[in-house]
Amino acid sequence: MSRRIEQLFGCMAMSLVLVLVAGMGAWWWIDRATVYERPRWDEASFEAIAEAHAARTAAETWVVAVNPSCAHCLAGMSALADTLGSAPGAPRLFALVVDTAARPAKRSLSHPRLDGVFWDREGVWRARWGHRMYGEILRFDAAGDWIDVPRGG
Amino acid sequence: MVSLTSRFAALGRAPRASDPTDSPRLPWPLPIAPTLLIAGVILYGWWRAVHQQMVPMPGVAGDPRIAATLATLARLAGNALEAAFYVLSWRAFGHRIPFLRLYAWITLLSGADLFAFEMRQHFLETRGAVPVAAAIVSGIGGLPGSWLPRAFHAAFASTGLLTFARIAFTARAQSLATGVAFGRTLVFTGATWLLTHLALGFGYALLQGRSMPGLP
Repeated sequence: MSRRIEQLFGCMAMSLVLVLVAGMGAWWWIDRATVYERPRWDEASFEAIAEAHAARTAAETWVVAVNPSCAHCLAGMSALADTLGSAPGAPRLFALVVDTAARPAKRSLSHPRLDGVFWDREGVWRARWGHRMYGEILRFDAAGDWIDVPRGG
Repeated sequence: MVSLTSRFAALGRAPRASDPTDSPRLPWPLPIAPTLLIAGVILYGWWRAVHQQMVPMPGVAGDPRIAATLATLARLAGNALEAAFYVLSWRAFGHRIPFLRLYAWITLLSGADLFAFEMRQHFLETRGAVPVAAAIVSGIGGLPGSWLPRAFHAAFASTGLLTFARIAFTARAQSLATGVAFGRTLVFTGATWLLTHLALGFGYALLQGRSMPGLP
C-alpha cells in the first residue's frame, strides 16, 4: 500500500472518531435543549387495558413504563409488584405500556398487585415527557404531580 | 503540497526513508506462550465477571453463558478496534506499528480494567460501597455518584489510577513502536480515551432521555 493511501486511511480513522464525538455531542446538546413536559399522571391521557381495581386511597402512585417486547423490564415490574406491599398507605401501582403500535393483550400484563394497566397510545411518555428507559418507575403524588427525586445518587 | 508527515511533524520525528520505520520495533509484551496464557486468563476473567453480573430473572429467557461469551468477544473486538485505530492513525504520520503486537499489548493491559472492575465489585459485595481510596484506584464507578451527570458518571466509571496506568502503558507501547516521545503518545492516547468516553456518555444520556432509572 502506498504511503499516501496509508495516510488517507489514518486521517479517515481519526476523522471518524472526531465526527462521531462531535455528532453525538451535537445530538445530545439538542436533546438537552429540548423542553419536554413535566410528567403528570392523568388516567384520561392513556387508554385503560385492564380494569382498574377498586380505587384505593394512596399517597403515591407508581407507574412502571414497560414494553411487551422487553422481557427484562416485564420481569422487573413483576418483581416490584411481588415485593410491594398492599397495606393501607402503600402506593398504587400501574403499568404503562409504551412504544407499542398495537393495543397490547390484557393477559400479557396481568399481576394481582397491579392496580391497573394503561396503554400510551399517543406516545406521551416518549414524545411529550422525553422519557426513554423501559422499566423506569415514575412516582406521582395523590394529585398526579410527578415526584422528581433523583434515585440511586 | 506539504505532506501530512511534515505538517504534523510535531507529533514526532519524521520517519526516515530507510528501513527503520518498516521494521517493527515494538516488542511483544511477553514471549508468545505467556502472552497467550495471560490473555486467556484475562478473557476468562472478563467472561466470569460478566456472567456473575447476569442474575437470571424469572420469566426472562436466555442463557447467561451465551450472553457472557458474546460480551467477552465484543471486548476482544473492541481491543482489536482500538489497536487498529492507533495503527491507522500513526500511519497518517508516517509511522508503522505492527498490529498484532499492539493488539497483544492492549489485550494484556485490559487486565488492569478487569482488576479495577473486580476491586469495585469486591467492595460493593462485601461492604455495600466502595471506599473513596479504593475508588481512586479502581474508578469512580464504585461511588454512588459524582458531580458528573448520571450518564457521564457511568461512561467514565473506570476513571481511576489503574485506567491511567493502562493509558500510560498503551502510550508507552506506541512510543516504542514509533520513536515518538512518550509525552506526545500519552497526550494522543489520553485524548482518544477522553473522546471515546465522551461519545459513550453522550450515547448513554441519549438512551436515558429524561428517565431516572432505579428504584424510588
